[in-house]
Amino acid sequence: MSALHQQTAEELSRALKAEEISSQQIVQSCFERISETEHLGCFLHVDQANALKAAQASDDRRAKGEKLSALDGIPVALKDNHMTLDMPTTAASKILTDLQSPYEATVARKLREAGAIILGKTNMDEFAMGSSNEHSAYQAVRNPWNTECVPGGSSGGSAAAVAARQVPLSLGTDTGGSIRQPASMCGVYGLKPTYGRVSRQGIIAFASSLDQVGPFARTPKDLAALLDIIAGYDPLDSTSAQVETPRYSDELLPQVKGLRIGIPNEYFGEGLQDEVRDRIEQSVDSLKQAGAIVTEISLPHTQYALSTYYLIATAEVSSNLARYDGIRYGARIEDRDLRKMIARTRSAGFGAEVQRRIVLGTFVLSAGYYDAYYGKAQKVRTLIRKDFENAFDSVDVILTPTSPFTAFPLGSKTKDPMSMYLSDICTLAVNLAGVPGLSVPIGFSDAGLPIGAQLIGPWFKEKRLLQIAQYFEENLSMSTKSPDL
Amino acid sequence: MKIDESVVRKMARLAYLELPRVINEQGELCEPDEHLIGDEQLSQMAKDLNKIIEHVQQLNELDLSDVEPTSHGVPLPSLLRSDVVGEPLSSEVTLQNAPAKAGTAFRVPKVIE
Repeated sequence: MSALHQQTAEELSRALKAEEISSQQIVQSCFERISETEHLGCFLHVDQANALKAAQASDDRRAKGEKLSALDGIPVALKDNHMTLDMPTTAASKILTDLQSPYEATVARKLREAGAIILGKTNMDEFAMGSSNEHSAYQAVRNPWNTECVPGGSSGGSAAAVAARQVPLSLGTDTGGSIRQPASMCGVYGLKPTYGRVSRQGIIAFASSLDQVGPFARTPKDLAALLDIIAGYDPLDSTSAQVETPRYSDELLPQVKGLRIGIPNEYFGEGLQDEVRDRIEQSVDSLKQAGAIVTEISLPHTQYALSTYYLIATAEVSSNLARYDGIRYGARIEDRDLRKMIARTRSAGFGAEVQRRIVLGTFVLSAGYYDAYYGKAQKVRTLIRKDFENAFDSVDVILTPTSPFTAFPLGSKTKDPMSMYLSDICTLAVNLAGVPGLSVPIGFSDAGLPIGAQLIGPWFKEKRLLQIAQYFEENLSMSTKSPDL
Repeated sequence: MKIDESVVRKMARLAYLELPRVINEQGELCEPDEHLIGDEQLSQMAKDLNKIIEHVQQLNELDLSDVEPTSHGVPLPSLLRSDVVGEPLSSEVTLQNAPAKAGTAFRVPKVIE
């Protein structure tokens, strides 16, 4: 039997049920792994004492024969923009150093109630603004497959921790690709659910009309088990959807035969790495052989997604981040003048990328420019959404690369924000349209770096994406490939 | 549209990332002696923002005259929960992260002369 930290949640759950192992042993094994691979920088906070206490409580429940959830006793890590009662919540920003949240995110509460063990809070780009995790105010995260490369971002810590076998499951957030792109670069499964599928209550807001919480795992079944716990309407989030939530893990069988798959030509243009293109083409061939009907489609407004995204997201940033004023919580730089106190606090507390986006967002919302920028972007969003509506009239799912290239060397894109933004070029439109997207690991480059394919489904059709992911897992067994650390 | 450095400074000030302007002896509004965004950082920011603004000009190619704006991707009714009194946070918990407090209040610099 492999070490406990190497195992999937499904395997661990089975062994727990058979009383071969205890939750305390699992938690212990994960903490040993975290400390052994600490150089990756995945975690900002860990809480060994509370995690072990929770594991013991889970073991006690099991000993009493109580009816337990599939994730009872299973460790999970949360991106550090999830409010938790234990441990600080910093969003990897200096302005929230050591913040102790007075309440917890709905998803954290649901996990706790399901008996999952929250091991710690993962590193991220400051306020989730970034695509490489280098914009963390604390430390960069390293890619487990090549520690000179970035893990992707902004949920880089959550993706790398799962890939490095520190924890079987984690949660991230995705505003423009922040779950899917790091999942792709770290060789794990990552799902951005439909906007509204998962509550955002207690998640530190970046761009409220685009943000969504979602799971990372090493298998589609584990992804489904975690989604089962977190999905559903929340009266505390007025944008959460009051629609029926299926059981994602029930009968999660590969479903490919007769499936209509659309390949949008706009996602295969300039800037796509050859090896990524090759892998995607191989995947498409394999799906065809399994009975899928593959057609070329067009999402004609794809080229406008980046512009639309940066106008809408920065506008929402300038508004959402206005709350950090050094008065109610967070760091404060004192001054006898209130305005100066707030300005000094914000200037010292926010990193360069966050300041850049706040200034851009303030500009696009300012008098005289609103219609030319923000107003226009809101209209183009309608066109991007209609592209998907039209496509889903004739196909069941859309397949694209997740990222146009594999993980890049640390420091190689930090000086040019536009080149960094381009790493999200395949994922942004999904957030603008609100549809679900799942990144599936499909292989490696010659340099040994993971490559991912993105499955995009119609609104609330996450289960369909999980079934296709299951097909890939059964054929490629990517979950068994583990980085040499 | 080009964003020059004075526009960046103005936006930074609107966003409370820069110190307010001051009134000089002649009663005119002018730049303060100290800036939070240094000259080099300011020019870099202007350069970065211009690159982004230049890129987004492509949206002007589109005819949007008959297009309705979308405020978020999923068309669902906005639901309000029932107006029931819940359990509020205690003032102690609410103040637990306050950088400065006085009794059961947040302390701020004096704002009224």
